[in-house]
Amino acid sequence: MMARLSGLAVAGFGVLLLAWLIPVHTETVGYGWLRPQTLPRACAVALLVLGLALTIWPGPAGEPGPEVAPGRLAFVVVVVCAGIWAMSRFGFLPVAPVLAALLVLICGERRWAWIALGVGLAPVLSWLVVDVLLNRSLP
Amino acid sequence: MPDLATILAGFGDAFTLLNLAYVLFGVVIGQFVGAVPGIGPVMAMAIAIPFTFALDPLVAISFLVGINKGGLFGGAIPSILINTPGTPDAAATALDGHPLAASGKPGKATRMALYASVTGDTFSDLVLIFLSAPIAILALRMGPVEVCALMLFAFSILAGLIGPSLLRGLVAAVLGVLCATVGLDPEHGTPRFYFGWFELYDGPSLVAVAIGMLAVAEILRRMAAVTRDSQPGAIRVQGDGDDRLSLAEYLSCRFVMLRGAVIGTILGAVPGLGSTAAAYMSYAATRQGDDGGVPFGKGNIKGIAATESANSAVVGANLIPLLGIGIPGSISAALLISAFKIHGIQPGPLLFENQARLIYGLFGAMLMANLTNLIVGQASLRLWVFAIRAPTSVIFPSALVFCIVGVYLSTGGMFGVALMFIAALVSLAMSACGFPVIVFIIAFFLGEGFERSLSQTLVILNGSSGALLGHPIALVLLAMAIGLAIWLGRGGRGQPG
Repeated sequence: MMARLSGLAVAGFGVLLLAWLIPVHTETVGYGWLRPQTLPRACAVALLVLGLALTIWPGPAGEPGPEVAPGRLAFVVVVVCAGIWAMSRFGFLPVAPVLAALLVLICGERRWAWIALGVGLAPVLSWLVVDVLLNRSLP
Repeated sequence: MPDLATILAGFGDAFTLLNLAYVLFGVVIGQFVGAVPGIGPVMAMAIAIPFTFALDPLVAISFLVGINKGGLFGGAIPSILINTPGTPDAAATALDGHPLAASGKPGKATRMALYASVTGDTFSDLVLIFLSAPIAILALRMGPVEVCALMLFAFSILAGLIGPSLLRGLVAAVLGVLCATVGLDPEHGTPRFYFGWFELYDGPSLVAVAIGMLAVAEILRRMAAVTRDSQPGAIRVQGDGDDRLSLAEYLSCRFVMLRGAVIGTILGAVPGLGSTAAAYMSYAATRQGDDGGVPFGKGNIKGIAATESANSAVVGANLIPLLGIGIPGSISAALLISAFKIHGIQPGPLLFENQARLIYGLFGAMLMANLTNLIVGQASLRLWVFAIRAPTSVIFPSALVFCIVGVYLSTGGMFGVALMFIAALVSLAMSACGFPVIVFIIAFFLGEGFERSLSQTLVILNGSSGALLGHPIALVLLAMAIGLAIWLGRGGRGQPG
């Protein structure tokens, strides 16, 4: 079922490209063999055809990866997203240790020594390498 | 063909103290990340690429090659000691490696893996050194029409061989090419799909996309799966008495290693066929010629020699299509492309004309990395037992912070970091739906060149398909691409790489 749905999603993306994305987000040029819209259009048509083919013949789904809890994954994604936003607003040095600490805790680490290492390792090493050694600025 | 002075100068550049130090550093990192299940050399290379920006191109690429080579052997260590492959390539090594270690000979098993890995790797490096220049000369005689057909042929191989089905592979390839159309188009110079973000005028950053899709996606997935380290206890390496590997035992595996190296080299030279397939194929071939000694699967030393020589031989051979025709044969080769591009070098056959000294420097560094791999592996086997038990709850968050810093450095702003995060989400969605991410990335890397050669092809052919008859090589390549797609679509697939 998932395989067929993914086929439909691919075909839908092809339609979205043809109907909106390509006309609105590419320039219309009236000359030349390969115009700005030519390759994107070809890709969109290919996606539409391949997506429909996948819906009809879903085929094998492939080997499952490591088991992931969707809710947990969503939580991790939100935390990382918030961390990146905070980094762009408040800078790397105040935010990176907090983000690292949160992620270490989310991973289930409860040993103080390891938490301390997780909090300090990457931010301090990054600061040393980028700021001190390479003399370049951090976010 | 480069002259002898250039070749010697290139090798001379490789054998400097600074280069040796970075190769050594790379091999140590590679063996460490290979030994920690779940990380692997690809993720380590992806994270390391932006940090090489400040280095000399040869030093930077040598460092990355060191990580890759160290990681391939490192992956065998947890395979043997805890029956959990550190990298997918080492899965076959566990078949005989773990039983041998469990029978009280972990030192013999890990050393056989190390020697076989270095043997196979050196063999394929030599093939690369002797073959890539002649292939590049042939490639330089090809025009845009032939290059365009060659890329279509490469897409059909990659789509067909990687991932669960040809259809899914083709979708991933088309998405990759579509993603490469973001930015200025090559013929008219007009912007496409930039949504008001001027940072997208040059297209999405290769480094941000590669790190996002390969490293960050995997880190997010692992963090969502990890609860607490629960690695089984590793077998301790003693390395004395019967646990040693004798010269006679090593020599008894010479034909097995040679066969493994040949299989790995051939499979590595074909884009899309990975080292996992090579290891299993070599193991199957060795098992067929069972000489009645220790049964396979019960700790036969030839089983380890077969798999490790084959999977390591893929590394050098993967660079044959990259350096010869500019098409990456694997994800690590694709990552090397982004390293080349960071330093302003365009991979492909022209490298032998414009950057011959660098290329022969790279070859020298590869040979040096093999020797370093041997020495570091020999000296630090006992140390990597601790790496196996390193807490992933600390490693993955730290790796994520390094990814953010690396992409910020490479792209020069937080836009690249945001792009990396979006690429990670796309990668997670693609993996969940069974679309091969590796095909997407390679197609994305090749997309820009493909559009340029397609544009030139259409101009040369003046839009007439009949004019293709004047390009027999392109016709043969197109026929092979179509034939391969039909054959693979009907189920004529081997083991995915």
